[in-house]
Amino acid sequence: MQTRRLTLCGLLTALAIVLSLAERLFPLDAVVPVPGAKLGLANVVVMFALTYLRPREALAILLGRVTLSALLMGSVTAFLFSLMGGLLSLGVMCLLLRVEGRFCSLLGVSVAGAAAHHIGQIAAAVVWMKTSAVIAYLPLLLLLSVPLGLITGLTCAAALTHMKKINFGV
Amino acid sequence: MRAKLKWGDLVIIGEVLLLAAVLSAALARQAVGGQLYAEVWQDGALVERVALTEQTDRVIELDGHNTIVLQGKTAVIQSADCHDQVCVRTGTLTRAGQVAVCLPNRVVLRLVGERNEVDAIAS
Repeated sequence: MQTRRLTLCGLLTALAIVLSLAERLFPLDAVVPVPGAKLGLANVVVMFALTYLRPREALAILLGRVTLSALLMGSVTAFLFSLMGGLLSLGVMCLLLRVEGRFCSLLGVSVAGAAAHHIGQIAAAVVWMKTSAVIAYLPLLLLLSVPLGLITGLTCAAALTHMKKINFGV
Repeated sequence: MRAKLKWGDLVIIGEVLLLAAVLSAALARQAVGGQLYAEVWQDGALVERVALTEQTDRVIELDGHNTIVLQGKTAVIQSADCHDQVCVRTGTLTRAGQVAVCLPNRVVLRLVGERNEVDAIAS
């Protein structure tokens, strides 16, 4: 069973990296004037790991994804921002998943996760730029996190349904 | 299917939208004012603060990294040597409160109104 979990972690990390590479084909920041606006496809993987595996495995996948994709794309700022956003989003989703099913569904969890991701990114930007002028981007990003979060949540729910169908347990 | 919308989801979505609305309202309030100024920040320090009038016509070069053009009551980052070119694609700023940011070079170009003489958000 241990091997199975480990393999799944590795697979999910690889999937997350591929998704963050693929995401660059759809640069959302060409449509909205916000630096680094992305679809957040890789967040589907972290969310799936949170629901399917344990929080610390999700954390490992997140750290692996952030570090490896920063090495592949070679950007210090991108690394810092996705790390801060990813960690905050992971924390918020982890807490909300405890009340998922009673208080909210996966959709709410992922919207909150997307919003937290954007807040974390802007916080990192404030530290990096040494000015809070970048907060001007936050309202638009928060607005975006609703549709983006809904897409993430639906994708994750669909993946979970299929995993159940093929009776894949860890 | 675990994606069936529950009341809590609406609460979460509502809160996110509320936060966005409150933030943009706060930012819009700060931006109003008579005289328009263009501020250029680099590495957290104010490099240049120029009052924009119809006659303004200036080019600011930041160590060859970013070229900022102030013309009339508008400001634009015309070119940058970074790979993402996000600040260039932001386009021309015309209203107080608008910001163009170059993350790799840590450069911020923003338009502010009279009222935030002392930079309230940045302090």
